[in-house]
Amino acid sequence: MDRNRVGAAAEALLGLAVAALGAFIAVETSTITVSPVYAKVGPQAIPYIVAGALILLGLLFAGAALRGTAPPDAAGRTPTDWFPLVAISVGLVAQMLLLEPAGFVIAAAVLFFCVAFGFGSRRYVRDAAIAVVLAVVVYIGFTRGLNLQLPAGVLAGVL
Amino acid sequence: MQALNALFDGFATALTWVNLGWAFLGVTLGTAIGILPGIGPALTIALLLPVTAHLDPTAAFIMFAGLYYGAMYGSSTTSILLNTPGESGSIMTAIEGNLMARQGRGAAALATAAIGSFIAGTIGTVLLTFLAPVVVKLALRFGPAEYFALMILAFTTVSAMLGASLLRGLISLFLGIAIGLVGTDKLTGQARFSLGYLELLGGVDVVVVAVGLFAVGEALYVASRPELRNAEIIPIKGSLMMTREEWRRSWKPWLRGTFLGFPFGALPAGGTEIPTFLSYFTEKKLARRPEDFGKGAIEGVAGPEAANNAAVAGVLVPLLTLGLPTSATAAILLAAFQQYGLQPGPLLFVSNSTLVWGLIASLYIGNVMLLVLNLPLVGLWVRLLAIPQPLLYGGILVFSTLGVYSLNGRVFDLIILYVLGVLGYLMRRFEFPVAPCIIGLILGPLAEEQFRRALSISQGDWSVFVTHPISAALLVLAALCLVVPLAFRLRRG
Repeated sequence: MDRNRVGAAAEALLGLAVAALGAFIAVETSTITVSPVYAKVGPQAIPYIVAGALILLGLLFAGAALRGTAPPDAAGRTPTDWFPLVAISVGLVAQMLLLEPAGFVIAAAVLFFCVAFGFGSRRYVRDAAIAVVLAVVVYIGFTRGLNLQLPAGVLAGVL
Repeated sequence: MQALNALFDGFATALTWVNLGWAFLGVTLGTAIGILPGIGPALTIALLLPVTAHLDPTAAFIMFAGLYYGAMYGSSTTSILLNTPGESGSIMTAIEGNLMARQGRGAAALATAAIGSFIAGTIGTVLLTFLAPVVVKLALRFGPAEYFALMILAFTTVSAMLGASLLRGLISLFLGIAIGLVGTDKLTGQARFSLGYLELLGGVDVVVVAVGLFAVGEALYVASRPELRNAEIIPIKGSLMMTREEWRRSWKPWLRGTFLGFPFGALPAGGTEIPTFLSYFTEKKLARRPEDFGKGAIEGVAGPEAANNAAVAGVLVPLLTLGLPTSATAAILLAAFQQYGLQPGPLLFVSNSTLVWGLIASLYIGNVMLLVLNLPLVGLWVRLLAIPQPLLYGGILVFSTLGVYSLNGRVFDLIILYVLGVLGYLMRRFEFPVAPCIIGLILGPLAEEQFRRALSISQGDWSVFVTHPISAALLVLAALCLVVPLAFRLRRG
């Protein structure tokens, strides 16, 4: 039953986050400068409606979660495995940081390897080999074949 | 008869070697991504958008439509052999289909799915051919107020019909609309929600949102759930030639599935999932031996597989005639039209009739190609299922991030992508449907435009939406979609 309570708390937080986003949109909307020509239904009308809807829906959702009237949380039946989430996130952030300094091939290979690792593969040599081959093939295919600009990075002279 | 003439012209367009080639590429790619879990038609078309920007629009749409149809064929194979639906439209197929495969009747399940898909897809395309001109005639009388009301109706139906609860659907919808607000306001040129970043002035690209929610979010979710990480592939056993008994048990479910699926796709009622649920339970009720359900009943494969293909044909009716997407994939297709500067709707049938009718004609051809690809050649496709999951998702993320980066060549887009990926993960984890978000993103700006246009024509008088009879009727329907489920729940308890 503990798991359900944790799930309800998480859902309530999520609802509050949605409401907070609505409030943020309302504040941002109020800073849009509007020329008097459009004063009646200008660029602010719909954002205010969206902000109001998000605040209302977020609070309703948080309330439903706390009262326990929200539909049962099927996904919460098995515990979340956090390790793969961390591994994949590391891969994504590493790719973002490496892409321009180190180049597409290195960044994509690192991402591929981290994702495969996160999904439980422990065949490091095979994964690394596939990662490098895929990254090189994609790089050459897209830059030569489709004329797409991808950062070459440190391998600029090699590829 | 006008429709028939137009259709013949369409065949003239679709039967050129070049367009046959694009259709073949589309259906092949569609079957492949349908079979591969973790990558669906919405994500694939989004990733192809930048690559196809310089292509002839007719060729691009022939390919996209083939891909959408193909994904529905391919996903049944995954449902049957892997018990993991390749797409959400094949969830019900997995139940009986996988049981049949476990009993060594996998081949019969694949055959009834493929033939049922072909029959439903073809009947659905016939209905599309004759219904589209009728809707176009009606839609020519629509003004901004009517279009706005129609979009509100689409918003409420997709939110109410998809997902675990109405509240979740609506939150997803408004998140999508909120993302769509970012960027320069079309009517006044005012920057909105750019938070001081020049990069946000152009808005958040639909490719970034689709990849974030469907690829990054999905990968994070699947990786975090151990029970989704390992699935057992069951080899195809039995004969692909269905027995007389299997034909007898299949043909009625095929037809019933078709006539459940098409209207659900065509009315803005939320895509391919619901008709497959309805078809499954209808067949269970009507089956001569209902006790077979839960033990591998062929009716439970034949019905839902027909329903999802007919629904795809149905979805194209409001998309082409009104510019109204009712599924995530349709929303991405609408974005594809916008990329070419085309606006789907009644005028498209006049101004770009070659494209529209070429597209519709190519659907007939694509269905024939798909039957061949998915029945005699199914053994080849099954090998795709042997790709280990870690490598599959590694590849999906490499291609997805590549697609997003190459949009503008900016790392900034990757940051947005990861933020949306976390959002996508949370939505999957807490059972928020993703489709309303994508539909809100694409349709939101169009709805705002119609809303403001209607109000500027009426000089700020908000009553236009209720004094125009069509608009008022549509808004009443939309309100009913929100109120009726609530009323049901109150009565029940």
